[in-house]
Amino acid sequence: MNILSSFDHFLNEAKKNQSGVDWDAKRLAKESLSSKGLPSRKEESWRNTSLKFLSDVVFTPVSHMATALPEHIITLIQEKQIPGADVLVLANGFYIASLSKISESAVTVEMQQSPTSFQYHGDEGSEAIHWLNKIYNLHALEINITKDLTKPLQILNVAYVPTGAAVISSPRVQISLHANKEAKLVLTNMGEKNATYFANGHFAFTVAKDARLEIVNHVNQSANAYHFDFVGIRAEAASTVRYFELNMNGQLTRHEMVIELNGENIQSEILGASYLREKQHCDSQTFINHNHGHCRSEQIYKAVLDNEARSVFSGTVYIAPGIAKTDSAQLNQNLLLSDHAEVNSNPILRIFADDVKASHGSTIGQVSEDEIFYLQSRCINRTKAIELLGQGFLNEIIFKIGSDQLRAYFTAQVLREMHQPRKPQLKAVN
Amino acid sequence: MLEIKNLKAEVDGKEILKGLNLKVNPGEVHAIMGPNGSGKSSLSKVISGHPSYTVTDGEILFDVNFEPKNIIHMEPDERAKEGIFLAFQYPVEVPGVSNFNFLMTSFNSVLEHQGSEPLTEDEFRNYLKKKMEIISLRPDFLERGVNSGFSGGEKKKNEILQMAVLAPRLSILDETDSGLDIDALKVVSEGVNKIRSKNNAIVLITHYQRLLDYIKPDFIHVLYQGRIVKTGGPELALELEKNGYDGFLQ
Repeated sequence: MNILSSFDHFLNEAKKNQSGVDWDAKRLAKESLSSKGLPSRKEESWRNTSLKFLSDVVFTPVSHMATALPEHIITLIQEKQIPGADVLVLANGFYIASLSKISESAVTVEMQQSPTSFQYHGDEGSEAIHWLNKIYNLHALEINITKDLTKPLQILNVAYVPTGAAVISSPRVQISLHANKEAKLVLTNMGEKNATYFANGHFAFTVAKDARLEIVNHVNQSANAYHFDFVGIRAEAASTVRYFELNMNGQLTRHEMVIELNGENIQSEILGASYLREKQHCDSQTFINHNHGHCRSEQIYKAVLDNEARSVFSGTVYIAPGIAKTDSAQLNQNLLLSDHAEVNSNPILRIFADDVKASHGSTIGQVSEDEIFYLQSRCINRTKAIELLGQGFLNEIIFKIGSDQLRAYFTAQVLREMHQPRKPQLKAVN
Repeated sequence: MLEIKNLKAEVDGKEILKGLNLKVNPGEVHAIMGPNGSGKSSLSKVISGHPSYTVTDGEILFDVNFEPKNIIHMEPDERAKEGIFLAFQYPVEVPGVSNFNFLMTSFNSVLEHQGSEPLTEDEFRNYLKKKMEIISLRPDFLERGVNSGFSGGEKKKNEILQMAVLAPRLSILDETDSGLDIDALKVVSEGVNKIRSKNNAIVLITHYQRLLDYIKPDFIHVLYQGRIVKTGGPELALELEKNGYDGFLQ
């Protein structure tokens, strides 16, 4: 396995710069991974996404952070900061305190040598990917939020290639939102323009009783990047969780998103909006676990696909035995702008209780000629009309973002991404 | 301004317009009436360039830069930028695109076509304020998705707002009165009357006399089986209302 070939070198280098790390645990994880191997496409959850790139490309794990980041990376970080938000910067998985800006006393950031692990009932086939993060992460952050946040907190994960050679970046962050508190968080996943790297993030959230958390997971990677992430959310009774996954770049993206509803009266919304073009591939695996009754989960994932892009959505909803009054809805909608785009949509409902409301639906369609004609009759040319209709399709998700500031920011992001020149592929009927 | 000569058009291989002639001059209001299936809506779509229709014969001449030009090969947006506007019988819903963004994109497309600088958001908001008054719409209307979740009346008012914003030379109103209660019909008609001028022309497509009580036409045409079979003054509408198409066409 190419991805483990530089492990020994990595370990030796890392030991020179870091202390207190449980090196034995890393070695054990590496051995487990070596013997078990990576998931193959024979496994159901990996049927549509290939890990061949891990054999084809040599990714070097980053063993330490340079004393200073290159100027163009600092500029890039500044450009991607959301105006008015606090920011925590992680470069290639290392916390960069000097570029971070936290104005609120309610937020504490600590480095964890041995981060707490929680049990998530997610994709069993993805264990190897979690191990990879554990093996190569050297700066696990633990963030505690003890009061209501007045500003959004942006966790800006930047990947870059110090020597030009492909790297693997493994950010790992755990965030706890205390009881009855409110926070809006953004995970910005981006990197050096056109660089080849593998960003493999692990983000865990605990949402205490009565707390309200909104998370935007924004994937805006380099055109040659591979982006994987695990997002695990443990929600307690009467909390509210709203999760947005926005995919706007990167050649291969894979999400594993797990939410554990660990108390009653939890309201959760799991939403996704993707704009995929060229040969981009995006695979979203979601797991919503209703472990207690009287909870609501609403899931809507929407994708606009152009050129030869491919989208995979697999949504598992688990409803535990004997729980009552569960309300769960799932919808996956796809808009194709090209005849060569591909969508795989896979709802999985595992229901072990009786008093349950659970729905699911999936649609795949093209822009309607009547809609295009309507916009054209209002002086908007065909290309622009298709662009607007695509934006509108995704904006139905973006407009649900609760913070005015973030909604405006991400509306503009969608606009910018979709405004890039595209070759119209849809022809008029005659 | 508009001259249609021997226009024949088909949809899905079926001929709908079978040699239609019509001449419209600036400042005129024409009403086109006719029974269901006579080709009224098809005519409006063919003039504005709906891709489902194929023109098999004839010409649609429209003044472009003061010269009559056959527009049958022009894209719908090119025709619109030259000043042809169609108010839809069933306006299309475009959720996720705000009315404001839609109107501004639309208006700036015309400016761009004319070689002018596009308006900024603030400039356009100012311009729009005056237009909103014509059709008495609330400001929050602009932030909603285009026609998305609108009532029938709101959709039709939105069409008239778009007409006011784009200030077309030729407006075709396809059954704008359908689905409107009497109050909404008044508001919509008053809006149209405010936009009406000696420089622009209006073609009303309608089933009923009712609309013509509010927007007074100069000419009335009866469309039947893809042709205009009779043209007259406003009195023709009353005659139709009294005797129906059956009595009239026998």
